Amino acid sequence: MAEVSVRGVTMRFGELKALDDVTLDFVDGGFFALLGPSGSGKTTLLRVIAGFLFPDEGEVRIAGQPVERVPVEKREIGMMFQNYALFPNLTVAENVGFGLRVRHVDRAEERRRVGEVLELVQLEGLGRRRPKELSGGQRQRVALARAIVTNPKVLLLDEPLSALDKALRVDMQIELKRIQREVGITTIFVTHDQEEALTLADRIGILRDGRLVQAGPPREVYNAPVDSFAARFLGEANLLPSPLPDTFAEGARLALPEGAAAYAVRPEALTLTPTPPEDDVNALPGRLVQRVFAGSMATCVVDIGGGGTWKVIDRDPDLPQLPEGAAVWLSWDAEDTIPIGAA
Amino acid sequence: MSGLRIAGYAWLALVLVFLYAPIFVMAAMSFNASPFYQLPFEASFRWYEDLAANTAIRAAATRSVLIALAAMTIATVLGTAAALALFRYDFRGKRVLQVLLFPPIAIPWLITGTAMLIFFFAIGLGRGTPAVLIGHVALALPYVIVVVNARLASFDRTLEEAARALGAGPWTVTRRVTLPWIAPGVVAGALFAFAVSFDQFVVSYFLAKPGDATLPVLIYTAIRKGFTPEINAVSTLIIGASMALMLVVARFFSFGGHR
Ligand SMILES: Nc1ncnc2c1ncn2[C@@H]1O[C@H](COP(=O)(O)OP(=O)(O)O)[C@@H](O)[C@H]1O
Ligand SMILES: [Mg+2]
Repeated sequence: MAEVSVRGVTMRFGELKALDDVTLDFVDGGFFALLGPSGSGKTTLLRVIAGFLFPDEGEVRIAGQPVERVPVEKREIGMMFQNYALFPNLTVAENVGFGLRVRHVDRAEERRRVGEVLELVQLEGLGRRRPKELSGGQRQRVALARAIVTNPKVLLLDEPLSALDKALRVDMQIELKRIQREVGITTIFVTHDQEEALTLADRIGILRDGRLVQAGPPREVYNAPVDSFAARFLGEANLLPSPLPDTFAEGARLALPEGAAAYAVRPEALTLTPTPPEDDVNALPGRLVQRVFAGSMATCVVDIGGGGTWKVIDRDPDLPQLPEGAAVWLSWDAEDTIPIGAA
Repeated sequence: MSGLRIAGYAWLALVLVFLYAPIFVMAAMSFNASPFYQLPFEASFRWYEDLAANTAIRAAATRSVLIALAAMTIATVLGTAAALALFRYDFRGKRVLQVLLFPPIAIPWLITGTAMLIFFFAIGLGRGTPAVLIGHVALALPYVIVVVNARLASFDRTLEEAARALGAGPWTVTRRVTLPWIAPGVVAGALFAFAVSFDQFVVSYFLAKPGDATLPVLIYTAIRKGFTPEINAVSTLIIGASMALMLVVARFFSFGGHR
């Protein structure tokens, strides 16, 4: 285990800058989620840390040591690939033991460690199977077991759960978190699923077009996004431009703090009412466009004249029964206004 | 059985007759006592006994097998290494190189043989077993590369990356991950190489010294001088051995598709 630090890394593919001056610290034993849309450079950053790619500028340090001259096989990393990359000609036990075998660990010790780690991922007794005789979830556990059995300094995971169906994915998230806590390994986890990032990580970083937009604890990024991209990417956000255009929602009562480039309001901070709300809250008039139920929650889409459509998430019993097309009011407390960036 | 089915079987039978009738006749005649293919058939092993006593044929057969084994080994090692290099590395001119691998398969052996003869005299090597061996390796190499390449096309590169991340250096990755995957391709390539060398007549005829002919060259000269049924016998033995080998390989690597 060790901390990993990325300093001013730029990676070019021809004209394209897949990473643009990225600086990030991954704390020892932390669980870091790298978040960003497809093509934002997440995989590239992971491969730079692993040593499969060499950055054009900047450096990577693992446990304080620059690793520029250290080849992949000497970096002591654990890596899990999106397709798991299990060796098809080897059994589960041989797959998991591969990293120990190439390190010339003696056979008895290898058997012991493989048994231990298979137990950790709850695959005791499957050591003799071949990868093709396993389910998707089991393969995923084998890949994880193989990646951690050598006690690597850092565990790199590239969208490890994206191939699983939703129910299994949620189980595996909990499992992964448990194993990571138990082993205490520095983990860098790539995902484009913000929910997954929020469930698992103690720190997140958002990438966009190869640039690091923001990094920090999930709460902090959620409550204080640096720009509208971060606001929208982590959680959903309704945006208010600053200054407000003249045509904006006639009749609105807004008290917004000074000096921000824009404002965001989370859908779950909004209250929907058929009549104008009390004073001392922010209020916007609009028209109910759509109402979708999801269990005990309801998602409403409200058209704000001149301000596009806003999304509201509320507990269903709290919502008045309104037909679509009805006039409604949206309101929220002043402290739920998130100022974004400096004007 | 429907008419279509019967027609299908008849067609299959026709193809098999077409392929195997000459071979069958030759094999039958190698066990016939008459040297002039006279019937009635009278079973005899005399041609096999003659063959056992014929030192020229035995020497040529041994030479052919040794040359084929040597050519196979060299071509398989070089060809597999070349295919791996083409798979792993990107370099300038890689595509040109890949395209240039194919023409040697299509160029008539007569022309390749002539070119080699001229070339070997030009560099002072002349005719002889070394020239034959080099020629055979050159002929077999493209087959090995093409066959191994085809197998590599279905290889998942992330397996190599996974192995490296687990601490395996380049040689260990090749030995423990890549080679096991391409093994069927390497074996198939080796068999092609053996067959190309062992069957080779044209290039061997051009490059061998008159004293040390390979088996196909010897058979050709023997037939020109006057036919002896010993040739039937040796040919039958060769056919038996190669068919047995092919069946074993086909079973082992399921060339027919399913297992
Ligand atoms: N080997 C490569 N050659 C050229 N371009 C690449 C290569 N790898 C990635 N890219 C490009 O770099 C950008 C970032 O890719 P990637 O890191 O895979 O994104 P992500 O994992 O966030 O989806 C993309 O535009 C992608 O097309
Ligand atoms: Mg990716």
